[in-house]
Amino acid sequence: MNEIRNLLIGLELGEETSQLAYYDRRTKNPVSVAVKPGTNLYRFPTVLTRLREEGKWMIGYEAEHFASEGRGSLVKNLLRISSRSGFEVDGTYMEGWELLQVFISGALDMLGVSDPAQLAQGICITVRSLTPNLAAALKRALRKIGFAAEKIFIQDGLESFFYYTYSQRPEIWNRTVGLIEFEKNEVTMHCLMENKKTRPITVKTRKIGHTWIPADVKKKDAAFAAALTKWLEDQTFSGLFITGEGFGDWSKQSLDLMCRDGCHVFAGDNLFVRGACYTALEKTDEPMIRGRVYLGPDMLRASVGLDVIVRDKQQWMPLVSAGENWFDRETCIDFILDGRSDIMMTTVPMDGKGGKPWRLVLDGLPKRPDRTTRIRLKAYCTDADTCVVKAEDLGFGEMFPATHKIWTLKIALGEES
Amino acid sequence: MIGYRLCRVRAAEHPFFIESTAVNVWTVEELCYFMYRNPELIDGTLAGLPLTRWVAEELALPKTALGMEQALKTDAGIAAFALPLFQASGYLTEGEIRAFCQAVETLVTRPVPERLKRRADALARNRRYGKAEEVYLQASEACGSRDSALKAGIWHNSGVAAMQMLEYEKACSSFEKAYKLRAARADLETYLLAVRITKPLAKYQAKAGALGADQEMLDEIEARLAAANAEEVKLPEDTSAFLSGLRQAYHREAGT
Repeated sequence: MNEIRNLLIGLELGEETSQLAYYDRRTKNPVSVAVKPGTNLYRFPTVLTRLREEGKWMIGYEAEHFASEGRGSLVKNLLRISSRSGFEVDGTYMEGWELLQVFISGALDMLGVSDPAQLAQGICITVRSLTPNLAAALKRALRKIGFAAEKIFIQDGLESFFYYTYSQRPEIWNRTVGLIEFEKNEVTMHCLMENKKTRPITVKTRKIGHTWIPADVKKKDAAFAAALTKWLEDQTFSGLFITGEGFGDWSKQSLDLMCRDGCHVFAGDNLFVRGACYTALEKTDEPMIRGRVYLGPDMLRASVGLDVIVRDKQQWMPLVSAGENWFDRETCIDFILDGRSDIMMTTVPMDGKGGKPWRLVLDGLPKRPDRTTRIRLKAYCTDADTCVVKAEDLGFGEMFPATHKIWTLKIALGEES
Repeated sequence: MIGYRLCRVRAAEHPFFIESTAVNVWTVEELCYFMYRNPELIDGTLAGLPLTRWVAEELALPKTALGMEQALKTDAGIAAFALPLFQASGYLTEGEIRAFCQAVETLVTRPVPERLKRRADALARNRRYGKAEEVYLQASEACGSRDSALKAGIWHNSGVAAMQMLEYEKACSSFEKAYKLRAARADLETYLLAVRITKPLAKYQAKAGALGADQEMLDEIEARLAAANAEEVKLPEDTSAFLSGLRQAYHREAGT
C-alpha cells in the first residue's frame, strides 16, 4: 500500500458482500484492497463470527470458514440488523451497531496499518440504500472505532455514483451519464440530471427504468436490448456505467446499443467503493468537483446558521448545511450572550439567494450581568424540510448558576422571507 | 459588539477553586470574567502553577499555560500573566484588555493602604464579607494616623460588610468611626440609619439628638426605611431549603 498516513478510505458495505479501497495520491486513483495480498479477490462476504473458544472475531471468508467448522455462529444481514439491540451471538448480547463496528474494524485491518482511525484523513462508507437508522448505527460504529466526527461520511450508492462520475474526465459526463445495475436477472437504470439554471449546478438522480431479464442466456441479450432501447431513446449519453452481478459476455447486441453516439461504456465491480474514495478526497482534501453539487432526496435544500463573534469579529456559523443529508448532522455549540436575550438565526437556500430570519426568544431567562450567560445550542433535523433548534441556559458556573431551561424552535427550511 | 461570543475552549472536567472568593470556575470565560473584574484578587493563590497546570490540562490550552508560566518566571506582573488567557478565550474585547492592563498598572503604584482597601472592596463585592472585614482592618492599621479621608472610606465599607454579616454592633461602631474621621453628612446619615435599623427607637432618637441631626436628615432616614419595608417580599415555596441556602451562604460569606 502506497499510503501510510492521511488515508482516504472508501468502504462499500453490501448486504451480501463488501469492498474496501483507499485513494492513492501518487496514481491519483482509488485502489481496491485485496482480501489476500497478491490476489484479485476484492470482495468479501459481509458476515462475521466469534470463535467460541478464543473469543476472537473473524469477518468475511475467514468467518465463513470457521463457522462451517462449527467454531462459531455466522452472523449475516448486518445492515438489516444494524438498528436492533440485544442481538444474541453465542450467548452474548450485542447491539446491531456493535456488530457493524466489529465488521468494519476487521475490514480496516486489511489496510495493514496499526491505527487506521488516527491515520485516516477521511472515511466514506457507502451502502446501496441508506436509512437514518443505518446512518446513525454506522456513525456510532465509526466513532467507537476512533474516527473523529468530521472525518466520517456516509452516503448511499447513488451519491457515490455522483462522486465517481464527476471525478472522471469531462468527456464521460459532458452529456447524460447512466448507471445500470444488475442484480442477477434484475436490472435497474438511473441517470444523473443536471439543473444548469442554478449556481452551483445541482445534480439529482432519476430512475429511468427497471426490468427483469430471462435467466436463459440465449434470451438475455434481446431482452436487455429491448429495455435499453426504451431507456436510452430520450437522451444522448456520454457515459454508461454497468455494475453488479449478472452482466456478461452474452450482451453483444446490448453493447452495440450502448456504445452508439460515442458513448463511453464501462463495466466493473467497484464503482461504489471508488465513488466513496472520491467522496473522502473531495470532502477532506482539495475539492476537485467544481461547480456541481449533489442533491439527494434526503438532502437539505437550505442552511441554517447564525452570526457569532470570534475574536471580536462577526462570522457566519452554519448549524446545518445545504447539501448534507438531514440525518447526518447534529450540531452543538456554546456561546456567551453579549447584549442579547434572544437568538437570531437565518436560513439560506442552496443557491445563496434570499433567506429568512428566525428568532428564538429566551423568555424567562434570569437577569444577569452582560456576558454571564452561556447558552448551549443544539440543532438537528427531523426530516429534509425541518430543523429543530434547542437552546439551554447554562448560566455562568457558580457565579451565576444555570437554570437549565430549554427553549425550542422549529425552522421550516423551505420557507422564504 | 453585541451578539453571541462563541466558546471555543472546552469546559473543564474538574473546576479550579479560587481561594480568595471560595468559588469554583469551570470555563475559561468564567476565569477571564473573574480576573477582569477583580484584578485586586489576582494574588499568589491564583497566579501560580496550579492555575497554569489547570489551564494546560483541563482547558487543553498548553501554549497559553506556557505563556502564563513565562510571565511568572520572569516576574512580569499580573497583566502579563493574564494576557495569554484573555487572548486565548476571546471573551474580552481589545478595549477591555487594555483597560485591565491600565487598572493593574494603576493598582501597583497605589500606596499600601489603598491597595488593601481595594482588595477588601473586591472581597466584599464577591460577598466574602468576613475576609473583607479582616482586610479592611489591615488597611486601617496601614493608614496609621494619616489619610483620614481614606480611613473613613475604609471604616464605612467595613461597616457595610458587617451589616451584611448581621454584626450590627460592629457595623454601627465602624460607621461611627467613619463619621468621626470625615464628619461628612452622608457618613452621619449612614451611621444613624444603621442605629435606627438595629437599636430601639429611644436609643436612636437620643443618638440623633446628641449628634445634632437635622429634621431633613431624620425624614430622609424614615423615608428610606419606609421604602425598604414597602418592597414586596415573596416567600419561597420551600422555606427549609431556602433557610438552608441562607445558612450556607452566610458561612461562605463569613469565611467560616
